[in-house]
Amino acid sequence: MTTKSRTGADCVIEGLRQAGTEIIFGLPGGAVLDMFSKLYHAEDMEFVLARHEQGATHMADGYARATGKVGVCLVTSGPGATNAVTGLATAYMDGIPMVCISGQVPSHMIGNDAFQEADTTGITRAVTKHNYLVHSADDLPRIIAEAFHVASTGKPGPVLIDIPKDVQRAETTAPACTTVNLAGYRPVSGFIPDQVKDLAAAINAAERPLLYTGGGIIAGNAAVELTALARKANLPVTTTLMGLGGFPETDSLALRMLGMHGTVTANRAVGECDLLISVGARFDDRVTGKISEFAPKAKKAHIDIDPTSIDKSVPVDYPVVGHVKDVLAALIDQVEARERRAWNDHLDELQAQFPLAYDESTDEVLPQYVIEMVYKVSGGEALIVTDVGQHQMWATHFFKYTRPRTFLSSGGLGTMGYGLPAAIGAQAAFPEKNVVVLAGDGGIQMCFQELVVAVEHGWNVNVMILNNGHLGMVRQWQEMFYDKEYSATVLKQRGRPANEKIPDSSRREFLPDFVKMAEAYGAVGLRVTKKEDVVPTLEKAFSTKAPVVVEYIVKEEENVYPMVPPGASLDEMICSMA
Amino acid sequence: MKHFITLLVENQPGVLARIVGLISGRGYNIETLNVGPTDDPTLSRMTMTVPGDDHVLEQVTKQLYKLVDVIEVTDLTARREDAQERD
Repeated sequence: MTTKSRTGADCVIEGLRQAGTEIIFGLPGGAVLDMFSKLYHAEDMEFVLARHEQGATHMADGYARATGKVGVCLVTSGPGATNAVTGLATAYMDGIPMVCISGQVPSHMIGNDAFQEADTTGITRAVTKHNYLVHSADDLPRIIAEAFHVASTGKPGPVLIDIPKDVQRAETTAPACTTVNLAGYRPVSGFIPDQVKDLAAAINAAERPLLYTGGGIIAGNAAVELTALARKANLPVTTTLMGLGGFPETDSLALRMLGMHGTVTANRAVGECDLLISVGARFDDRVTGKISEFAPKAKKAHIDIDPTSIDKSVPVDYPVVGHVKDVLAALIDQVEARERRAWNDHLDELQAQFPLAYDESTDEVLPQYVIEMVYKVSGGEALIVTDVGQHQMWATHFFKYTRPRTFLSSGGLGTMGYGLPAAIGAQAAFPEKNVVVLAGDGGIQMCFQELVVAVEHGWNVNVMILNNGHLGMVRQWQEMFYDKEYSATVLKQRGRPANEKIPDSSRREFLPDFVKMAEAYGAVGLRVTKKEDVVPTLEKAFSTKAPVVVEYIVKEEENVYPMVPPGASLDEMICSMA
Repeated sequence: MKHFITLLVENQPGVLARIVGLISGRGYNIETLNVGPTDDPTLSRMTMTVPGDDHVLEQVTKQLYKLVDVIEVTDLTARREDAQERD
């Protein structure tokens, strides 16, 4: 059977369709016109026109995190591709499946400094799981199929396909690709039974075991198995930022997040446990603090699909390479149902003694209070998408996550500007869900323009801007470690250092006016300055059938506690400035 | 400690840049590098010498193996030491 001739651009659409693509986020340009011309007729695929390629990549990322499917974005050559780099790096650091297709100048122009030319595969090599520069339309069906396979298997990640304009236009009779065969890419399948057996025996023998779980639980769809294992053997669970939602935080075994801004109980448990079982987590420096003093009394186990994660920063006594879902299922059968009353009671006492808290008596609007009210008013059912900074940490403290894929956040790269576009991607997948963006006044301005996308598609995201007039987390570090030298962290119009020359004028204290900005984009804008208005405003926002932006003028110099200073060990937590 | 690493890789443009980028990106210097064809025209053989700390180079080797274009990675260092002892 011969395949009928069609263009490279046709093969791209064909490949996307074959991979089950329902929605594409992107922005056009000269080098991708041929693909957009084909897309014009592809009525089975929704196209979302972002206003900046960074926004498009974060939307694809948010869609991928919320659904578990591969997020797809399409950008042009040169600046289109360089704008996409931040979004690719964000997805790469957090292991999010994404396929990004970029246009490239015609093959014969490559290397000539042509208009809108950039060495896209060179630039993105370090921030993608794999990338391709396509030399012939004959290769396109295979490359598209490979890209989706690589992006979604093993430890997932973004894959970029750079397609020169002449390749998009060239005719080919290459058949559709139905099987992927990559000699150099064999993602882990199964596991070594003896490794699991040894770990099960270690768990059965442990008096003070602790599960430390990460994004692998979410990516590996293993929340059910994790919960069953923890409950069967009474294993307390602490979760990384990426792992939130993988274990119900309302469960009595949940110690909640560990690390730099983890709970006292979680960090103490790490210090006291005799067996630390890492499941799909990678001993990140924000989790471990001073690595040589991390879990000093514990034997360490590490279950991960990525063999390079094991023994990377911490020597491990019980390595298990495998898919977390399969390994946990096997462990459930092999661990004994046993009580660990002394250990569980001790941790319960710590939780009671060191709750996450803030000053509830003050009349000021505290950011922590706003987030706790988001939890209460939404009934804990909201899909939370954060930006990066103080509010992101408070979002881990004052909202309890009970299901996977309900907390989306840029963990590894810490990308400010991520929240709003990622929420739009999540809302695109689930138009009926209550998607709530928690952001600061700094980060929200980095991708604010994407609000128009939510408005025009009728995706009713709720954007909560906690405006403290500062780049809050950096300001907190300056307060704690740099003698309150607030260099370049004051966003409001007063109180800046002398060299940031802003004449004290009659301008309003906070610029921009977020309420007017929301209205300018066609969204509803609300402002809260009093504590008693927080709950009624949330009720109004959640019942409004339009995108809503709420600006909360919150207490300025509020800090995130507990905090482990950078480079310190987890038992050196600071719990207040007192 | 000097490491002798040999790789079997896809014979494609960009593969060398990917491998060198992974090693140099972690601050390691490649002292010698040889690339040549194999019996299979779609594959190339690379051999290199990289001085550096054992633990980190073990990581580098694992990371190299993760590259989609890399089919086989062997650190010959241990074997070479054995051979020298026998001499």
